[in-house]
Amino acid sequence: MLSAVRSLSLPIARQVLPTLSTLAKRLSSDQAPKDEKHKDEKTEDQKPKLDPRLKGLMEFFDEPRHWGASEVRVGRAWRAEELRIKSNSDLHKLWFVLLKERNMLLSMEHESKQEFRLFPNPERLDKVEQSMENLEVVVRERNRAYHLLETGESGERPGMWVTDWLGRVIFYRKLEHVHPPRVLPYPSINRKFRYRKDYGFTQFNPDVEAFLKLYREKRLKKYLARMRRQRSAVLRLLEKFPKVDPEALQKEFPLLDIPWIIQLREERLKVTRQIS
Amino acid sequence: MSTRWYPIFRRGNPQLRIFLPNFFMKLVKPENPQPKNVVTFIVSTEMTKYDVRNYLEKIYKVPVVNVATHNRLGATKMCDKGYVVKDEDYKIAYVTLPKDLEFQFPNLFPKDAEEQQDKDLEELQSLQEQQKKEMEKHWDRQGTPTWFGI
Repeated sequence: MLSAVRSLSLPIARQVLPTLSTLAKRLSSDQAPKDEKHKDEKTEDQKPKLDPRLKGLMEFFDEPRHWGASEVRVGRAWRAEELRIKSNSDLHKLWFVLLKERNMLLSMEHESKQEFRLFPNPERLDKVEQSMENLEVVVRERNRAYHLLETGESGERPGMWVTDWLGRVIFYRKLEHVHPPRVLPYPSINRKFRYRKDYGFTQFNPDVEAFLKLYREKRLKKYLARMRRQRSAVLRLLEKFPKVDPEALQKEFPLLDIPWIIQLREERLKVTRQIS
Repeated sequence: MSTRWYPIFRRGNPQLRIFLPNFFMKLVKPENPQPKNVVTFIVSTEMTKYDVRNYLEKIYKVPVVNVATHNRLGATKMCDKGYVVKDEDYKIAYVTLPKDLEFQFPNLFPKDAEEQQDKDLEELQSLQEQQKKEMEKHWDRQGTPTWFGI
């Protein structure tokens, strides 16, 4: 498969990759024979012929006509819906095209930084990374569908929500182990975790407990203060405009129970009237 | 596969295959002078020597004789606010090519391109000056087209 990638990388790039440097390549070939002539002269004069085995290394650099350029014109990133209609092998080839492009851009960026020079159009890197992300999303969808059809499970890496040693709730992605848990060939191996069902996560640490208690209290106090502030604001509003629309108020203050506050205010008013 | 879940090593075949490798490699200029057939790369920290060799041989079709890797500490520096900030650690790989090959790091910023840029900048500046003069000439009717007036 890998050998096919290289031989097919160019036609694939032309067909399905309207972005990035390939587009520039195509444009240049249409545009100017004059430029090419100029380039040929230069290469003949300055550069000795490159060994064909080193051709791969030169893929780590941009095309020579972009060296020192202040602007490189490229297209947009690949979208997920465009990648969904491609075959698996096409996606596989495109992945390596993108990988090479990213390596090239990273190398150029590094060298520009070293030389204190401008790296033209740094958004190219974002575009390539976005394309790779989208491609992975599509592959993952297919993987999931295949696994669900064949095995009834999603085939994703299993995980669960656990409390770690600092009391934070994290999503733990499970690991592969050489021996299954609690069914070990030798009792000495993995003895520490032999009888644990919690993957070594839930632990009692008095300091952490004390800290968490205080932390929760602080968080609650903050929340209550916020509610109190909002409630008083609503009461002030009601005092100023007694016929305000309760629905609009509810929309403005979604945390509060507005009908309850209105009722509270009326009761209070009743009491004050009785006293006076 | 697409979950980026790297399975543990087990003996025997078939061995692990990476379908969509996510490793990066940067070809960089070496800090210290190297032999002519040695190429320097900055690679993903999780890459092994075998990964580097396979990456270059299978994806880039470059013959590799030897790979040496080192983990390097990211540079630390003092921030303005008085605390220390640290760059990310990186792995550096020195790849030896066959004896008869010579790789020279190309000059990515040729002089003529630089001159061209300077020339463009000068042209732009002169155009801007011209524009400014025109604006000064019509200072009393700004925002109107030039044919508007006597």
